[in-house]
Amino acid sequence: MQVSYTHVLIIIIGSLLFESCEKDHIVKDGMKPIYIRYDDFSGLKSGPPLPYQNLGKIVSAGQFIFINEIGKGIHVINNSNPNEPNQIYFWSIVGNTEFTIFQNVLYANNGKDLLIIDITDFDNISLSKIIKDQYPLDILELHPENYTGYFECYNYKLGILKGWEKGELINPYCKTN
Amino acid sequence: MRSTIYFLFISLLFLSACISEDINSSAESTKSGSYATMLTISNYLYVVNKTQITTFDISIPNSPVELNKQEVGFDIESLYHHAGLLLIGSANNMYIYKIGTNGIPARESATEYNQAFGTEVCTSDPIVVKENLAYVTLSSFTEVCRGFARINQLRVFDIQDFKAPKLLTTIDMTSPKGLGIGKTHLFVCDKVDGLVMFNLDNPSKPIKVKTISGFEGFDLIVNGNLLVVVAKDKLLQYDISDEINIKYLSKIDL
Repeated sequence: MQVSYTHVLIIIIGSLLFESCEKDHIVKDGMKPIYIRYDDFSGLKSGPPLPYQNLGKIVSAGQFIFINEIGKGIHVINNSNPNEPNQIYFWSIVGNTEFTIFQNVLYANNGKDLLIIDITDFDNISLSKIIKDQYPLDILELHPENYTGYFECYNYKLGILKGWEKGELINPYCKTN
Repeated sequence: MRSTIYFLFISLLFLSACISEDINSSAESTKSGSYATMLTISNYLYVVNKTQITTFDISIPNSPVELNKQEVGFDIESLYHHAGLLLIGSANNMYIYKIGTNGIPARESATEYNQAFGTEVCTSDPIVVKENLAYVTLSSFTEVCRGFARINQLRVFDIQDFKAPKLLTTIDMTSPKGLGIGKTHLFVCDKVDGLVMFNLDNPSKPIKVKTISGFEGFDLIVNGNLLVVVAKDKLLQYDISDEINIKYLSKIDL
């Protein structure tokens, strides 16, 4: 078999072209944000207890303790016996980091709005009112926890960050070291 | 027979007294960790975001009405209530506001945490108060505070004159976070050291007496004889009826 210079040239030029294409569209494996629309409150509900991952603010009221799971919601603990605290519910509120409780009402943020939530029935919490735009959005710089590498930058215009998933990233800009 | 009935009657009285006390205490016993940014005080809800404080009327709890919104500063982290005062912790200032009769807070003072020669500090700083003293933790993170002076301290301020707080004491710590006050001790969470206890025999000069390590301490609530500590991924509880010998009670870590 005869390999001509033309063949070699084509291969070289071809690979150069291919490389330049790759430079325009770098595709890498990494993490992508999962968004929830700001007006979507379908995920706000009471559910079974969840594991602790990244705990935040704490409130105690009567025999109960409430602890924020950063960005995800609130752990509800029956602490009538502090020797054996009993996890009873997880209230899922995507984007939640701040809250307090007054009588049968939970005041909680979702990163943008202040949500007024009726907790008369712990098993069946319900949204009473939304006070919009209590929190400024443009200062959120979120990144995946316990992860090193490229990720698609979180864009607050697209919604609340629900979590991160693995995916192919095109020209990723954000990176954790 | 008659004595048995009397006995039953008296027992019932005791029982009913216990129950009503329980109900009363649960209605009034909402306590927040020192990193709180929302507080309810009588019929008002106070909310701080990164730069502002907003006052809501919550006479109808599930339908708050905004009364007032005002600019405070930058990077606000915490809101604490003491005797009609609101203390607001931000990245480089402790702000003191007085709640007016209309429920709306008005600024009394802003105390900068700056070091000598106006070096800007970058911290996170909850505040708690006992009588006329404010205890503040300042902690800096490498990831956020590039280019700023980094400090990790407990500071004690005299706020008797809340228009002009005076710094009394500074104590270096590793990475202090949320804090709370017991009967005779100050409890401070530390991201590296866990839980650090200070003796307050001389309230303006806390003396470190004990460290309980093994977790990343974040915040705590002192609730009577109970100390509730939140670490990164666990909840720890201690009996502090004897603050010199606090007793571990339980843990949730899933």
